[in-house]
Amino acid sequence: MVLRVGIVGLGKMGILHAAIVNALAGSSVVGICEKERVLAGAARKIMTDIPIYTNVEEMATKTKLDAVMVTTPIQTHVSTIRALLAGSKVAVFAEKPLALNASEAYEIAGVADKMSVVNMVGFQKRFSPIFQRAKYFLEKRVIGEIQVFRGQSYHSDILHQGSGWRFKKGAGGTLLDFGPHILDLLLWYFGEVKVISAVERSFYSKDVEDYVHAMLELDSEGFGSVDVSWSVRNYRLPEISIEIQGTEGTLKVTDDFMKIEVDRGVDGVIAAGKHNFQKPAFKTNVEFLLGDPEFTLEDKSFLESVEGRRSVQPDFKAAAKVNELINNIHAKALAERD
Amino acid sequence: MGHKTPEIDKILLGDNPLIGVDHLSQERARERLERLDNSKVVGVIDAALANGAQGFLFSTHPTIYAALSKIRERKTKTSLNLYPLLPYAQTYVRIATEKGALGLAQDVLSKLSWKGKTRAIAAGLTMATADPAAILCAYVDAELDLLSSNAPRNAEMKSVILHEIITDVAISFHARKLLESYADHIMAKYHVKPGFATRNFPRFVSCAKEIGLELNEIVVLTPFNRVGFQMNPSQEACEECLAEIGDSNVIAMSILAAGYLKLEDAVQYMERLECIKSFVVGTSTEDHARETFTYLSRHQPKWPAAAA
Repeated sequence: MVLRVGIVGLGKMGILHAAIVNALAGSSVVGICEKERVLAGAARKIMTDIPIYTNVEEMATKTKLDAVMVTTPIQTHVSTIRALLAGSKVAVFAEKPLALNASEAYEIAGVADKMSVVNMVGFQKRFSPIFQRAKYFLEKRVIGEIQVFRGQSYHSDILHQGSGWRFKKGAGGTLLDFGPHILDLLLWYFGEVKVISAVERSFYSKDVEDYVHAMLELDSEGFGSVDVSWSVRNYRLPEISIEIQGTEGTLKVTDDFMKIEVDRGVDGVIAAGKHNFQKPAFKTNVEFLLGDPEFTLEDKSFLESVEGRRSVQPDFKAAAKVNELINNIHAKALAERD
Repeated sequence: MGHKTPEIDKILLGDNPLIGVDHLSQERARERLERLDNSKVVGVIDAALANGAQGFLFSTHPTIYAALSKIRERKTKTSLNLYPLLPYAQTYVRIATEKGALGLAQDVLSKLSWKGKTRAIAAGLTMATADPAAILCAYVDAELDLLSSNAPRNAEMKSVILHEIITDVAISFHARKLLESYADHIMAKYHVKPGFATRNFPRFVSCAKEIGLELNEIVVLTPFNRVGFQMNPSQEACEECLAEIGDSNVIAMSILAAGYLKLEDAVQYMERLECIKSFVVGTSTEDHARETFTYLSRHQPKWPAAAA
């Protein structure tokens, strides 16, 4: 069975997912919706076999769809998903973050849950073998109880005042646009995360923050901090780094490598001592590569769940927790400023 | 197909370490960038050429243009074969992030030189008609105009290679017109083999066959290394595909798996791959370039397909 997939929004992420899904043997892009007429016209010239629509309802009515991937700007995610689910029971993948705020996110998560449609959000870092290996070691508690952690997510994307929706108050900013990946990883690794304090600063943007620093605490005794910014120099690519100190060792994981030092080994998991894992050591060959292999692994995981009609992580509910953490950080920063 | 295009060289210097690209470690890339300035980039190019590299494969990045321009200003002439890889994707990904895909297209059009704009208008190219194939060709011309004003005078361009982001999106959608227009344009206007970078080699080959691109008239830049790093869908599939196509112009990249492997590993592995004509290796310092290319020229794999 070849799954029939629709794409809403032909920006950078829309093109990426459309190309991956169309290339995979088990799925095919059968409709694309792009509101911007010039882009829709350009798409028709390239994707000659795929009908291009300019509104979601039209695509949903005219095309039989097993799944839809929503890759529009953040502020239209929820309304688009609502429109899709009003028409039929279709599986939905949405790019991160799920929504503008936690209440919107929990609401749409509730709708998807009630309709029991497969739903997923694009936190592809969870599909990186390196971040996965770190998760495995944390689950096996190889570094003991977490004492302190430091997370950092930097990119040199915005080194001047930008234009477009990412820079509008309430719709963008570095925490909502660029921060969700590291926040999702922290939630995935640690479970509940509470905000102790936060500072936000603008370097270049007029209406949104370019740098966020937050102190966080875990349900256990552990605490730590996270720094998120799209305005740090010399980060050609977005880069995540998380350093964790436990009672029995340390672990540092980044997009490129994981270093772990373990006081006492755990049988069948890891030996005592220092270990260094690098990207090429992991088998990350994929059926079709575009960008990073984790995008393909993520899309495959979504499509397999659609086919098997079973739930998949990270789902809307997991994504709503990220929105909640973003809200809490913003609220602390605002309270401390006043 | 008209003109006879030049054959490609066997040993190429790559530019990744010179512009802060490191597929193994961003941390290392940053440290390197701190140490590098233009004169050091020139030093790496000189050392590579003096020790056996025959060509330079590079992104159309300001650092590289500045280094080429320095070489151009020298009194002594430097023979250098050029393999530009374009577009320098990261710049455009950043514009797309900020302004969206439409903003990106507008940006590309607005940055065309006066000559480029005239050509674009002559081709009926406006935002209203936005034809990706025409935009791509106009963009290539603008980029190569800039290159020719920076390149050393007796440098020879041997191929123009399309970045894998464009190639791989195009093959997913069987975007025949885009790939064909690009190939035709490069051959007709620059009289060199059109190049395609891809991280999905077997799929690219089957797509090229399907749309009638002759494999011996194009160049394919794709990863080949002992550990299968970035070889998709699998190392075996890539090796089998390579063996099947026979005479072709494949440039192997990532032969050191981004620095994870040693040169000895790379050479031993490539000896097995008879159909590869060429490979590219990046080096970050003069000393590193000297060692690397001396080793590669002494121990280069003896492939029957290669013009040594």
